[in-house]
Amino acid sequence: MNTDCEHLMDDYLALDKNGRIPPRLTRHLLLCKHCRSQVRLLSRAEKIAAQPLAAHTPLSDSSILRVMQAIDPAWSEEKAQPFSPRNWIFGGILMIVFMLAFRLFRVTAENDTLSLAFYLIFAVAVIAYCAIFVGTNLDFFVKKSESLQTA
Amino acid sequence: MQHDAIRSIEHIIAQRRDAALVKSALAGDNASFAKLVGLYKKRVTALGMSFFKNAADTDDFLQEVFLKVYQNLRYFRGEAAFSTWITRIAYNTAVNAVSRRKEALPIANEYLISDPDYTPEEQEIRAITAQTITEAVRELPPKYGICLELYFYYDIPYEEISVITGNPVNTIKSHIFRAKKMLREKLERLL
Repeated sequence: MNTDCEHLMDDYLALDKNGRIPPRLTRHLLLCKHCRSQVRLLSRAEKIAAQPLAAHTPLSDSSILRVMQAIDPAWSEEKAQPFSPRNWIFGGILMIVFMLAFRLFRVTAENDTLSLAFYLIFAVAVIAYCAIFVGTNLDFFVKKSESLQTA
Repeated sequence: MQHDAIRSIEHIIAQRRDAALVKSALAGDNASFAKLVGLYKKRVTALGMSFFKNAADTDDFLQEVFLKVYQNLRYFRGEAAFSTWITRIAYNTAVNAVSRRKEALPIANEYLISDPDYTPEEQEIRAITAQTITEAVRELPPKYGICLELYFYYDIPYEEISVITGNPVNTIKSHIFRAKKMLREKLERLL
């Protein structure tokens, strides 16, 4: 590690959270493996240090329940988990109806390009439906799996 | 560098998420407020433990902080991140509660150790980081120890630490710079 490395690393250390790395330092990092490794390690160290306090607490936690009951005496854990499958079932049925309707339409229309485009759209729609369903109800699934594990 | 870019994006997403939750909590949706409590409970608890060093006082502190946050939510203008705003409320509440001892004690180890599955390399980095920060905090005047912890553990930038603690930005910067230098030297062993 030469003096140039030392100066440039000082510039890196002086950066704030999410600070933009100066172009001079970026160029140096592309050429100097040692500094690059140091930057990588420091960046990981900062990330790892901040992880425990960034973790979310499940809404079923007793202290959250106490806080919420101090704010709203009628508060219950279920209020925080308004998981309702009705809209999802309705959305799923609607999607299936569209697909079947298209199948019927396809019998009368003979355009293969159009069919391919629609099948691709349906595939994307099914993937998006599943991803959004799991993503927006992640708390519910985690809670369920935890209760199954403890049972 | 890639990590930094990802972290920037994560921060932006978190800020937008918080803003949306605050907005809907202000519109009367208490479930949104409960989500905010879930998101920031750990950091408020850790801050409480730093000041009180016992679970009972920390629990009361937690309640007091979130009640204050709820009552003052309409004053949150979104100029700073919600995480900064809530940390400032928690910090001021803790300082007022222990007015005879204005400094925080180092963060409790259980917050740093208990956690998910890390690779052996990550575990080593984490141990070195925690050890270095503890050493750096020990070398500093007590009122600056919390600045280091806010930077490393609470993931808060210089300006916002200055807003929370009332210490000058340049002083915070130089203390954190020194801690980072120590950390770099210790991490060098891993290369």
